[in-house]
Amino acid sequence: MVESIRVVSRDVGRILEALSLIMFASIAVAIAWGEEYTIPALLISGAIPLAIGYLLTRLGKGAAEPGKLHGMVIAAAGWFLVAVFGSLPFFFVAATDVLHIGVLGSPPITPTTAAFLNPLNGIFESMSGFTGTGLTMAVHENHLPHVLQWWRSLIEWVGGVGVIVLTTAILARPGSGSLTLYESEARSEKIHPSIVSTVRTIWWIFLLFTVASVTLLWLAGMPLWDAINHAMTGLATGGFSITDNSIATYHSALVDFATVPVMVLGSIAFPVHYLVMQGNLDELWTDLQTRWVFGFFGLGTLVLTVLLAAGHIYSTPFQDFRYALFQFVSAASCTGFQTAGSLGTSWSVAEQLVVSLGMVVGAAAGSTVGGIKLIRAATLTKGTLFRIRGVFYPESVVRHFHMNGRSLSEGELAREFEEAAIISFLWFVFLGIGIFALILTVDPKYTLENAIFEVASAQGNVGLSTGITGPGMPTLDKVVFLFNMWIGRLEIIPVLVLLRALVTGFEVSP
Amino acid sequence: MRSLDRIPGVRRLQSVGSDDSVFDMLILSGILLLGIVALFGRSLVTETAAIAYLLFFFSYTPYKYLVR
Repeated sequence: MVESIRVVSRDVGRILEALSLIMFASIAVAIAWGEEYTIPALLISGAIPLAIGYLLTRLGKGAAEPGKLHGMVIAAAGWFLVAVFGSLPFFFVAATDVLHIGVLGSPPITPTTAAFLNPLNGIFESMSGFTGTGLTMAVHENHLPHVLQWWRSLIEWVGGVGVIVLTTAILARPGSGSLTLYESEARSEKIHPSIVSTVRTIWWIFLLFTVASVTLLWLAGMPLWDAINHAMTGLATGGFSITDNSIATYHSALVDFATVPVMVLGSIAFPVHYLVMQGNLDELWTDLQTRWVFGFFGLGTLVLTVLLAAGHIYSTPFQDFRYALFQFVSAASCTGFQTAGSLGTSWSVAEQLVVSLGMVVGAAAGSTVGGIKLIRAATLTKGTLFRIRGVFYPESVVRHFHMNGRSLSEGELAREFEEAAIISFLWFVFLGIGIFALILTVDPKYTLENAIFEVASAQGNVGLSTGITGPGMPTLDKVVFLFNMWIGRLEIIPVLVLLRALVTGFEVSP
Repeated sequence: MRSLDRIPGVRRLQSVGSDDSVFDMLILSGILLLGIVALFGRSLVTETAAIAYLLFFFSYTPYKYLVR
């Protein structure tokens, strides 16, 4: 037990130390934008996790290498603590503004920044960022200091890399969607030997794609600062914006269409990206998940275009297609960028539910998206058909289940099928709990479909909003959404493992 | 790229990537391009450079696939 605590303590401590480093690095942005008054806030914000991280690392010095159980606990605890400590820049910058300290030259505080004087709002924003959700407590993002705009984008970007590492290396197990891609690692009990090279490669690909995405968005017409921030949050499929109306701010079809491939890049499993970059371009159509990503995005766009055309919300078929493509890709990639300002009010129930379906299913495991993931949908669909067909065969027949070029025995299929079913079931259970809490407390002007949409958005780490989420929402709803975002990002099981470990300890039952 | 190895961080960047110096060069040249855009703003020259960069970026992988 003590040894396990030391293992977790050391790795969580390292995560907090890394968090402090990116806070200190953000001082460069403060200097670049002439917001030096935020530097003390960033220094204090960074010093706290650095000190705690140092103490935790010291506590775990010399501890054993982590196994799978520890990996899950570290991921769940680390994500939670990073979200808590990541809220400090929001609070301290707001506090600096409200104190209006003359010697620091801080400007008068805006209502948007003042919302972060409530620490819960900062934790919500930080959890939303690190989980790549994009729901926000900032009413007018363009009124935030550049440092906080940057901090929101940076935490989504870092969280995006984190979740790829999580799903392709740490949590790789049967049914997780990573087994097919990283079979050898899934069988490894120790995570460190393979995770280091995996993390490095993922950072490298992420950095390359970010640079290309910034260039693309800038070329489409965004100012450079906007392009940097939206490329970071778009690739991480997080969806934080630095403008008041998300991508709709630009009133540009070109910007809309340029943002779509950025979101799609974030929706494809990064191991596939790696293989494609090695010259294996055929992975784009031979890999099951990637094929399903394009198929799902295409089908969703088509259905939504037809519904919008039938609803006569927009004036031309081109506008129907433009908004349908952007909003479905934004939802299914779990990004949450918005171009349709009327999504929560003018769009019909059918249109909102199609978008909700995209948010619930998501895209590829091993990418930055949330949701249940297409691989699980594929496993459940094909597995169900396999079981039904099995009724028509004699019991003596040995059958194999084929998926993504792999042949699985009935036992292996059962494991994959069970894992996908458990996660999908838990996903809907917690979705139901969130919806129940929301309809009890939310303003009566919002409908049930609004509540379903909002909770699906939080738990799917999407960030599209019908207008429910904001600094004025009830505290209970903020806490429930924090939990929804957290479990959605970690695919539920690690959070439950952490909670069990906190209650009963790390002992493995005989 | 050999002379670039001497710049701190570049060798590390090369060692973690896809073992393809062209992609390493794309990261470095992309950052340089964005720096130039930050300094000189939007102009015909910077937009042409950005288009050239993206064309190269998006055509290099198909090229690798074809010559494989």
